[in-house]
Amino acid sequence: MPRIKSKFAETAVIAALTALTAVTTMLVRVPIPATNGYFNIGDVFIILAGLWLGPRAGFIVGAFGSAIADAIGFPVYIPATFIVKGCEGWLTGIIAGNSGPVSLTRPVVAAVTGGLSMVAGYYLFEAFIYPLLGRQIPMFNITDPAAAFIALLPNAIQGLSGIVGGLALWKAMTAGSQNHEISDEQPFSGKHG
Amino acid sequence: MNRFEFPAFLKLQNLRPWWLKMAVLILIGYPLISNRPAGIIAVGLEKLVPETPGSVLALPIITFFIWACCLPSLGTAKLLDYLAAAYTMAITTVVSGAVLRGLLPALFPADSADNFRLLRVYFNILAVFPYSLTFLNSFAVSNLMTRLTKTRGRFRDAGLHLALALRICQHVGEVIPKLLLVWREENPDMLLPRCRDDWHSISSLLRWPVWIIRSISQWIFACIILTFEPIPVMVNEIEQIDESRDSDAPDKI
Repeated sequence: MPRIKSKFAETAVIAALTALTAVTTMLVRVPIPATNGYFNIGDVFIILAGLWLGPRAGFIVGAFGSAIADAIGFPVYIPATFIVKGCEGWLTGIIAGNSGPVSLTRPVVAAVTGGLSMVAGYYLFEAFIYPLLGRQIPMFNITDPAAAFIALLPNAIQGLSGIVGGLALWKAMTAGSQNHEISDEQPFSGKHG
Repeated sequence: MNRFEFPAFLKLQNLRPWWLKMAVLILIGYPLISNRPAGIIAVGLEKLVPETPGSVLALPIITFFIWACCLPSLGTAKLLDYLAAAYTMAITTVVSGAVLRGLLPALFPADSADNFRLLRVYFNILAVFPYSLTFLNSFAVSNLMTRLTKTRGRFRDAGLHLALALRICQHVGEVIPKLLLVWREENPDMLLPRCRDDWHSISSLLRWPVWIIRSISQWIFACIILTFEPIPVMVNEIEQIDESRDSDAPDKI
């Protein structure tokens, strides 16, 4: 996979993608009254991070980027978002493995699995875990299975939009880059070496 | 890249005659110019699943429909290329819009519908970009030019100019996604320059903004040069077709 080999560059890119996830999730959020949640466009960068940089980066970008966004305005969703969005990026990265832009099949399967895990994960939290937690901690008593069912469609649409965007940006990022990997150990020298 | 070929009858460019193709394309793009389809979808969704934010969900549903219509004509790889550009443009527009709204509240007064408006802009860009390129590429300019050069009348010159404009738009759509590969030759790691021996220290953090501005300006230059470069050639082609038509005309013999 044409990933960034330089640790410094990889860290910078992960940080940038985490910030972009947080910003896009935070700035454009349309509330879903049934679940007290919201529709957003941040999944694009989670899928992109998983496909481009692997499972670890996918997890960091998904978990921290989205949780930071939830911290402002929707703190009750932080635990669910941290786990669900983290798993979305991690699963995408795990399944995508070392596939390059030569074949689209594996990245598509990876992105779709990541998106589906997000939809299933939120349903699980909103339908079962939060109502269960809500019996002990009233703060979590904000959803029920019926509300979670209503949120399935918005989450699926949000996931599909993220899958397509992540795939498109990943393809643009990695197109024609198999021969251009750069590492810290063997830096290029000279113009057009 | 895997090449999955869609059946020929699904490709919009194969539709004949030209007016049927135009009608189908306008019908596909109708939800982008009218609010009625979005309203119908929203009402339907809200009836189907009460408490669903139908008006919000109608926008992405229309966008997915337009992508699905464009997919057979463009193919997966080309559609993803166009969508990469569309997503970049949409995210940049929406984020900068939201930031400006926060920074300059006097110029961009905020209200509760703002996020919905931003979401509409986001999905409109995502739908319009691939749709307009599919529309432009569905018509063969060479056939149009051949027909126009055979005709006489006051609309002939206007038609030729229109054909030339259409060909240039098609060329821009073909060239710009491919320019990314050219740009990568200079900037292979996307966010790092090729010549970076001395980019290990903290000083690289200071150099990076300068490099990113330079690489973006190079990208814009490449776009401009490669977009305008073929115009004289295309004008010359039209003139040659026009001249050959004149020389073949019976009244000239």
